[in-house]
Amino acid sequence: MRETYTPSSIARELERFLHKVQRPARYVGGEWNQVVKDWDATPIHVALVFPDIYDLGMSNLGLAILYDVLNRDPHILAERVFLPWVDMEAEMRARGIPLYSLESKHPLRDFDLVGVSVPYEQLYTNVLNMLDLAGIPLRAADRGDDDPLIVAGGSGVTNPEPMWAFFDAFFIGEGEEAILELARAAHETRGQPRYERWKALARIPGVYVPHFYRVSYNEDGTVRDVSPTEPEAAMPVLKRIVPLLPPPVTRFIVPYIDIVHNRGAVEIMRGCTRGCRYCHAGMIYRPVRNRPLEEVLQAVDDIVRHTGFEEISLLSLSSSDYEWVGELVQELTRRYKDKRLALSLPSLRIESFSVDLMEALEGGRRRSGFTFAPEAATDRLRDVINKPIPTQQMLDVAEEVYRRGWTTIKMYFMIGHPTQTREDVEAIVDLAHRVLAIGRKHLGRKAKVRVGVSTLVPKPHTPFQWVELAGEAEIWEQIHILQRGLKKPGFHLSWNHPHETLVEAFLSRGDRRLADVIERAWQLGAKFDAWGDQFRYDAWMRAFAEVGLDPEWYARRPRDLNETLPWDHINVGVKKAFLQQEYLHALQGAVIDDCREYCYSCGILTYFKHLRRQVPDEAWGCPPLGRGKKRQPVAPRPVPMYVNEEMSPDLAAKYGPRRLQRESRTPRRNPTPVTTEQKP
Amino acid sequence: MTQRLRLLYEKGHPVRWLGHLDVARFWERALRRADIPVVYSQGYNPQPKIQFASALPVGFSGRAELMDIWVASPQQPEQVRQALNAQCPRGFRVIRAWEVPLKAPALPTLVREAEYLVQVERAFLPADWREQVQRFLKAEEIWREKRRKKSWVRYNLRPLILDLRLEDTEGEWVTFTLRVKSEPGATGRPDEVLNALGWEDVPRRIERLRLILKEERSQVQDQDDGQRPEDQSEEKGDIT
Repeated sequence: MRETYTPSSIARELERFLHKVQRPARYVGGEWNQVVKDWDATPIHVALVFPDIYDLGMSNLGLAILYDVLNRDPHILAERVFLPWVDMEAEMRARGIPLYSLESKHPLRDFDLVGVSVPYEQLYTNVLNMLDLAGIPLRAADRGDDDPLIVAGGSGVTNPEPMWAFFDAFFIGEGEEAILELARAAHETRGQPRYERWKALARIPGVYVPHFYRVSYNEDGTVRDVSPTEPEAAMPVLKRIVPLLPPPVTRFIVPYIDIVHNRGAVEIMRGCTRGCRYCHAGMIYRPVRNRPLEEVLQAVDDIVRHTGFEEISLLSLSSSDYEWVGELVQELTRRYKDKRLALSLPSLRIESFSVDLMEALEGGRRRSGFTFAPEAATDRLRDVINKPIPTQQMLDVAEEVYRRGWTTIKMYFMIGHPTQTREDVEAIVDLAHRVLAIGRKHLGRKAKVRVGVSTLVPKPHTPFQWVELAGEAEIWEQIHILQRGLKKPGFHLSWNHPHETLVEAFLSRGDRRLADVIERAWQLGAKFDAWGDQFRYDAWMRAFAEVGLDPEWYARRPRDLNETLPWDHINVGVKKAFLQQEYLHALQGAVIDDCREYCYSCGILTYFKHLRRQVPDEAWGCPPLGRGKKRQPVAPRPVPMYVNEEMSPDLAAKYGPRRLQRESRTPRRNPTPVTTEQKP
Repeated sequence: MTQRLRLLYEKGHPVRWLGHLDVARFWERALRRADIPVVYSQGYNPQPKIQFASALPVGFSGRAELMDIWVASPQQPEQVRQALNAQCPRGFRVIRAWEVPLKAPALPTLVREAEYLVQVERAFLPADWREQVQRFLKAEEIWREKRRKKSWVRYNLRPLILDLRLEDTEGEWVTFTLRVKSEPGATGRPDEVLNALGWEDVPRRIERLRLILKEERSQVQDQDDGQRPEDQSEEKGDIT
């Protein structure tokens, strides 16, 4: 850095050149509901970083929650830091301006704790860019005692290993309570030797300090063993959860510029009971916790009053499964009928009840498209991924959607699922055609089908973690099948480039040795990997070659069930035995039910039974525990609801015919009792 | 019963970095927070009925901007002003609100000229900057290009500049006042003047002091009297 910048000199310097960058409002803060505290009068200073530009970071609910939690504490101030876009970055580098916070313009270096939200792996190189722009040594081991502690959290670091060298610590799980403990620990240990500061962090449950673990490797390159080297280091590191959803954020910072999600949001439910086998979120956000209906309604009122947003999104992984979804929609439409408030309810199941919900929410006004996410196009493959929605049901719902006047149905699929055949890919084309035919019948040429296809990236902590990423040639062949089949009026096809998928895959599944690759790729120009126009495949490939590692080995090697996976010492509350069972079930075509019907002992109630006992029965999707509680059937090993006949004829006979999974709001009256003796 | 209110407001720091659409969105949300019953347009995608006199580009502040809002029931203009100011973050402030007849002409059609205060940082100016300004003023034609949707259009900037006056050369900033034409299809932009002088990279502060309206001169001028450019000193250097 050419000179030492202070908040006022940064502000002054910005004024000199902001007229030359795109959307300068990204870089000055000052929005409604921004919290600015007196820096000198507030002892603990936390920077919350989203390592991408403002437009994305400000759309992230997790960051808004932590900002709210921290700033409620009078001893703590939390300020936002986002990455500059490339034009702004060039200006900042030319002038030696360090990365600074929007609220007070303090350099990132001045904070006690830098909390970095990492929801997906394509942000890794941006983290390095963030540290570099802040003038903080990239590697935790090289940082001085005065540098802030850099801690990551979020769904993109449930396998922390590839980024192990760059963070002082990782936080695993839900941070609403722990962030306060982290902030205090960072502040109280300021000035102490870094090693001592790491120990203070490691004492906080849910915190993983990678330097306190030693990793050894087998000759074939797989991990032999991970062992803690300090008494403070937990083994394994169990994720933290909050027993009840904390009060919702209602004073959202109201952005001036038009960001990706320019709206308020209320999390109505966390977690999902459906158990789709490819789904990372569905595994790591367990258990299901419902927000009480009254609290959601109050939050919507408060958000409108505090922000003036014209749209509010009601978020969850599976909105149809929210305990009181019908009542919620009914009451919201009653309250806001004439108030011009758009309400969105994403992630609805493909069933007719969802069409009713959408119709009520849209109130006959603006019609958005309707989204289906079957993820696979044949009944068989949907059995494999445990998302058993019959094709006929989808067609019936499509009929209902077009009949009621929506013109566009968006359909999301994945290719590259285990056991997938060419027929399963062709079935995507076929299903899209059948859906469009229904649309044409009702709306003629106005009917549209948009097909979005991504390639399965087998994620850590899911039943598919042992599966390999499909080969590049194979993926191209499948994309070509889709392109040929959907090259007709009425269709629109979008897909992910196999190179981008490969980068996501090796970053998701990598071990500690990838840290060198990430650093080298960043040096070679990789950043903003999630932005198609900035993506630098060449930099990644060259980095792998220089470091002497093979990206294919990380991404496309099927892993043995007995292999020690690089992330095995991180426990997200789901047992490896459960994941293994589910992986074997996938190969058999065995479908397990919604876990509100049976508890399959995934691990949540093993690790968090004390929390389950603290909360009301209806607050969690898991069965209540304790004397006198109505017990749900429990299957210590997952028992299939049925098994696909084509895939496992012998087993299929044993479990009987295909049955529908629980529909929304229709709990089964008389679940078949399952005893522990029954084994698949 | 619908009522039309005219608001005179300020766009200062740091909100001068907003574009016109951002400013419009800000007022829509502030009006919602203040619970002022703005009239919405009919149709597929109803929009609040708000009209601005003249868009202010990104980076410009405005000392006396004008907008009209239509409300569904009669309001006390002073109460609207106060309710809105309670919802304004730093940089936005409603100075005055008054009722105008529903049938009054649309604001943008009334605008004729605009007056700006333009400050450039002395340290970044070329040595012969005074001569550059003289040459600019003496020229009869200064051709510039502007983007019109997809294509670039050449236009003569010089006749759009009605007056360019050097106000102050002391201190860190060199200060000009600039009066330009501001009519549909014939709008002079102060940043274009700086670009035409070759000062693209010179740090600047541009503030629209007032809009000069047809026949309504008195209303706007009343507000501006007594506020001379020298009053700008409080803004020095800090955009936080």
